[in-house]
Amino acid sequence: VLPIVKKRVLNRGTLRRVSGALGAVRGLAGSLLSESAEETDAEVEAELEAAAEQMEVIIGTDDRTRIRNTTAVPWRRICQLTIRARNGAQYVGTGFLIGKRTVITAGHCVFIHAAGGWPAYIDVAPGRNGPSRPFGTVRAIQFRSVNGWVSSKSRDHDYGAIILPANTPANIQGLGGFGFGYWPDSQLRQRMVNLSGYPGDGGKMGPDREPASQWWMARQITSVASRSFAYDIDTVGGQSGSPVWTLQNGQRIAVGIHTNGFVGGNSATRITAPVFNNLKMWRQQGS
Amino acid sequence: MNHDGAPQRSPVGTIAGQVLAGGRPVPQAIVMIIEGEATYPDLAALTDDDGQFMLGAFTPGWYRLEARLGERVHRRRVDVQAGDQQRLEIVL
Repeated sequence: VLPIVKKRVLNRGTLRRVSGALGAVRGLAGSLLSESAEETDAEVEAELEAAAEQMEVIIGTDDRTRIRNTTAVPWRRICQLTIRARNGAQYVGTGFLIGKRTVITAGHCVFIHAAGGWPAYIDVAPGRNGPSRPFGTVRAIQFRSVNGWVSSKSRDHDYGAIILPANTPANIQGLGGFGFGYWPDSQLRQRMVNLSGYPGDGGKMGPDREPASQWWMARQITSVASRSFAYDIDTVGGQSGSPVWTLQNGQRIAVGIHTNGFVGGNSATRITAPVFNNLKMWRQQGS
Repeated sequence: MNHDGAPQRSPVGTIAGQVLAGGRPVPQAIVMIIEGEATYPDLAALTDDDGQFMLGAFTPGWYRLEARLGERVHRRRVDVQAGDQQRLEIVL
């Protein structure tokens, strides 16, 4: 079956509806920690409009969109990871900043059971754009995860953090961070979410494909479980640890951490109350 | 580490191997799963100087593996059984 491509011009009414789907939640339960850097309303609106327009293009297709301006918010807060495992094996993944020196990622990026456990080090490159590393690279050796992942290998507890060293350059510490929050099932079902990261295949086939480039896509959540949720956003190896976020009153709020592929729907570790509390603690440890 | 989570079953299979081109090891190739009938970690491996790679934590089922260096690509289906330690030789 060929994918259906819906492409149409947005008018103000359409934009309002799309903006609503992307962002507005009434009667929100749970808890939120806001983004940590300033943006003007105009910037938010411009980015929202651009995101909505791109979303209209990709509905019904498997397309990902390359992010070229990775020095802009929020893309600069998304980091390409090169992981050196304890046994010498190397891996690539994705993470995202939630504070000055705290990068959230999948548990299996910071504790690899089949490769010696905690890595020897991870090189973190915020906003990497192919060969360009606009903010440089920081080598991290401090990692965090939870017992449910480290001891029990539970997919439901597959999340962790990288604490960047104290001498991390000021330009990286000043990049700002994603907000994060935990929401009830009713607020997550069919919600539009965004995912951006570093696919190992360099992105979709075409002139934009390039190793270590950042790719974005947005789709609705298709199913919600107590500790994870699934979506039809296309991902491949290398995107583990990508933020899965939504917009709430103009703020980007991460609600999940992408971890798994599956032909029936890719999925994220859901930010629940315990996850939220750990992220908050790790953000404090990297402040 | 802190204590979020209870014990669950372990992953049961690993996929490892060597990437070659013209009979020589290929370093810095990307090896990843691009599709699978069971859920799998979306982590990609980079081959070492000897072209070796290792991917872990697979439950039984079929997976589509891709090895890539630039535009040189190799894809294949891999069937993982319980307790498997698959060893592949991949030629780009």
